[in-house]
Amino acid sequence: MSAAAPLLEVDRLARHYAVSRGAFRAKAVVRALDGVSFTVHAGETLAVVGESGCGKSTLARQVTMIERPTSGAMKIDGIDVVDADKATLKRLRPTVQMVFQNPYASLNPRKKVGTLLEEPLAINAALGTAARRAAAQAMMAKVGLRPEHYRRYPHMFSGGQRQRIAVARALMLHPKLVVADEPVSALDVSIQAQVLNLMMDLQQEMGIAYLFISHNLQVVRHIADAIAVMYLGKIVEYGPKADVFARPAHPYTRSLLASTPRLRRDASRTGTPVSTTVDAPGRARAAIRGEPPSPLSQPSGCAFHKRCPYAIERCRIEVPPLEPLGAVLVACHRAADIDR
Amino acid sequence: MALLEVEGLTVEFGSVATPLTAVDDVDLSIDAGEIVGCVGESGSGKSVTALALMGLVDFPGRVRARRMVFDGRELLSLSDAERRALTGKDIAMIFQDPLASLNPCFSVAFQLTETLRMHGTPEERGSARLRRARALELLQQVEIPDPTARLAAFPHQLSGGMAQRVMIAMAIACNPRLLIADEPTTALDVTVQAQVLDLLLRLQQERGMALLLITHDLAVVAETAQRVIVMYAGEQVETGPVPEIFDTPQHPYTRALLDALPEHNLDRARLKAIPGVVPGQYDRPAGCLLSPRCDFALARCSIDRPPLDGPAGRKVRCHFALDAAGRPTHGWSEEAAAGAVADTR
Amino acid sequence: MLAFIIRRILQSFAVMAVVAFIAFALFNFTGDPVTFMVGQDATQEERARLRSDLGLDLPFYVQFGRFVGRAIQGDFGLSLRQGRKVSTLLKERLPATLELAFVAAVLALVLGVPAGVYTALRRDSWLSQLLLAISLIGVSLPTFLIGILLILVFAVVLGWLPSFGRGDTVALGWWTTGFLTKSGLKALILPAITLSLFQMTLIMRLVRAEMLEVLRTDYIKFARARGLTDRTVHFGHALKNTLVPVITITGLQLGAIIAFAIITETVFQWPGMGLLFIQAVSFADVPVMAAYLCFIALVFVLINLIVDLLYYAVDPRLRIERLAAAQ
Repeated sequence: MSAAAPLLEVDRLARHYAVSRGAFRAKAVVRALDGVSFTVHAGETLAVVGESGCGKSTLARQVTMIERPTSGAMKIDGIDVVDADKATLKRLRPTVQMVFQNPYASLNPRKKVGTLLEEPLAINAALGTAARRAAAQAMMAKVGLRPEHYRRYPHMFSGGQRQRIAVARALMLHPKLVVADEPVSALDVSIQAQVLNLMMDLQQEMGIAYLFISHNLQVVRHIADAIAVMYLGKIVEYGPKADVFARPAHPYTRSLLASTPRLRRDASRTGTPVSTTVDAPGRARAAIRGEPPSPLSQPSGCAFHKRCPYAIERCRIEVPPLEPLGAVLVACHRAADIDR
Repeated sequence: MALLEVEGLTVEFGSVATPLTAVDDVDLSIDAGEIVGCVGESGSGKSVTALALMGLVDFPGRVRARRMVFDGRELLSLSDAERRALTGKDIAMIFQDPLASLNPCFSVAFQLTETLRMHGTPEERGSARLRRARALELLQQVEIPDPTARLAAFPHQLSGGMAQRVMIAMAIACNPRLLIADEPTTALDVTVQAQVLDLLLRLQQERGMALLLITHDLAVVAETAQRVIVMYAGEQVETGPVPEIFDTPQHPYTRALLDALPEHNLDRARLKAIPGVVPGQYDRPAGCLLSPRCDFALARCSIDRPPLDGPAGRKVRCHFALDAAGRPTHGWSEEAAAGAVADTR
Repeated sequence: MLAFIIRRILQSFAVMAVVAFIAFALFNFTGDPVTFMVGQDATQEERARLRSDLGLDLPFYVQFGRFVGRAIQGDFGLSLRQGRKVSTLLKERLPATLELAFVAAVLALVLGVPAGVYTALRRDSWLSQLLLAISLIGVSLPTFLIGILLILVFAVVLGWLPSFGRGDTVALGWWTTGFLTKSGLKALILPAITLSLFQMTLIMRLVRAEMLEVLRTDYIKFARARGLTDRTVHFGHALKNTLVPVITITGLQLGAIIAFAIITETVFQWPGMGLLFIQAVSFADVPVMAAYLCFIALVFVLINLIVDLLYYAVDPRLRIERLAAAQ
């Protein structure tokens, strides 16, 4: 990571939601985002990994300034966002753009590609019609769309091409940071590769930073520089990609990696009798028990302790802080004891 | 003898004059107790194949096959009632979206016992108490915590993983000999995905049930199946035993699909993407369906559709099947390829 | 659940208050009632005395409060035309309208729902096409025209059924019913069909559209994959899921049947509240109009309340609060 001032600096950021539980009961507070800290430098990709309900989409809404955080600090390009006035936010918004998971839902079907691309310029930049058009066509060439696509509607494109349009639209204002929420999850493998290549090419060319949100560890491993693993609103492991993948420190990271199907592994499942108990040795997969808990019923202590094979009494009571261990930061009482 | 043997399965939609071919001449055989994977991208026809096997392709769709034999019985010549007696009992199926696949208006207990009332043993059909006990037992078998409470639950109260377990419980209620699982883990979280796969494999082993696993995820098939069928645009392009298909794919599509995975590109900056998109109804090539996207396509490929060819159990649909090093064979040459490119431009 | 009911009831009161206000406003917009009541040559003093006797000199909100207070007790004053208590007039006419509306609603449901299911399941049969064609007529022809056509065919040309009135009725306490006499039943047939035809076709088309929608869902696919019989899939699984929107519309239409009985009652000279209302309008009989307005509003509000409660019975997703609390 470079020594220059980070592009995005997030410190103990939290976002809580009040949820009604019926008329006669007190409202519950859901800590969708519970004190996360990280930094993203220009031109870098930070991948946020986690399962449903871990708070990664809430994080995206804070970083894109769609919502105001409940507490904590967030600086974009050195400017504080949490307490910023409307004018500052308006000025900052073009800096951060977003690409969504579903390219079928995120593009207005009644607008032509050209209109979709020029829209952000019309709102945020003082450019004439001709200049906007030229900018849109230049961007289309960049993302591999042909000039004749300018007048077509989104439904005339395949999923992969639509995601190209979505990427192009996000880049129209030359943002420094693009938040990509599961950008390739809805795409087929062959198309997924096209879009990932495009995103990496554009990063090199334009020096964009990505906050890449995904549940797919294989994709993350390919595109990310650093990785933050989230569980129930907290970051449980944070570090450079190589270290996290080579020596996962948090038991949750380990089980995520073990649960991810792989093309090749030492002990294939095929033909080997699968035992009936969950913890039987010699299994190909160190699958963990249970499902991610609902953010509505946060366990005490370490949020992961109920599913963790290494949990001890202390894990039930005490919330582990995010602390350095080797090259990564990890929030686990037992990280140092576990044989990696 | 194979449990299920299908030859020349074709499914068409739309008008007879200009049909939309969803599945084109697919051969399939599954032995008792075997796990066969069926992989393909969207539009490959893998789900329609499954529906055709279940007899669930609706009216405008037309299902044809030279042979479609399950356990010695020709499926296409059965009456509707005979077919239905088989469906859900001897051949069962589970779907991708577990929450959408359970009826929101009925409890878990109702939907589970309903299957038993239809297909259960004569004792089960006669006794509501027995059915309820069996439903509870099934929920235990699919490792649902607190099964008694879950019986009374409605689908919207279940998590995705829990709903998928309930769906599996319903599918195995009558001890099917073949279970067709259409993307059973795609909608689930990674850790839950692994649990559900483990559960499916355990049930498959315990019951000696055959499993047809349909998925877009090559890694899932690599980990679980014994044999695999690769489909592209409604056609079967390659079939063979699992380690072989993944180590030495013979069809350029299989190879390209594997090469497009980040896992195969660990040290590379760029992934090897397949250019273009799957052909639709109107731009279906006359020759090999992959020819517009294939690195190795020659002039012949765009004219002449290759047959599914090769020794039993290891077939490939390509004029110039790849060798172990990934080079095309059967007289393919660099010069001819250059000529073909010049022709199409 | 309880909170929900309480909230809905409070909303209902709000709606009724607004309607009562409009009804009350009718009095003030249709001229000075005193002018109607006293002769041309009444003196200024006589008018003023009458005005204060009637409470018309009181502030506006006091008058409104009195109106509401009396309305709650069912007292809407005297009919200007007949000089009888409005509540008595309504009570006399109520059975006729309710019996007609009830038969029409039952007809609409009993014929509309099965026809909707049938046309959804057998989309290509000739009967489906025929039903859809008829339903188009039902939706597009105005009620009075249908009524007149029916009278022409069955009363005038064939002479099978009476063309107007309610036939003989039997009194059960204050309630008079036409269900117990042959002429009463015969008289009911044509108006009931006229009144129900529009609702019937509406329900049929709604059930059909919903059914087609539900038949495409994953849970129907899964139900079929379990080898359930078509009957179980269609009537057990699909029909229950189509019911939620059908209940909404049917409920609202039930209110509409009572309200729109005005036209049918006029065509068939049916001695119900609608006819009373039409007559009241032509004589500017404001108390009757106000009472009718309040009554119809009450019917709509009550039906809406019942519909909301029915949702709970049909759709378990709405029962989530209760079950979540029990866990």
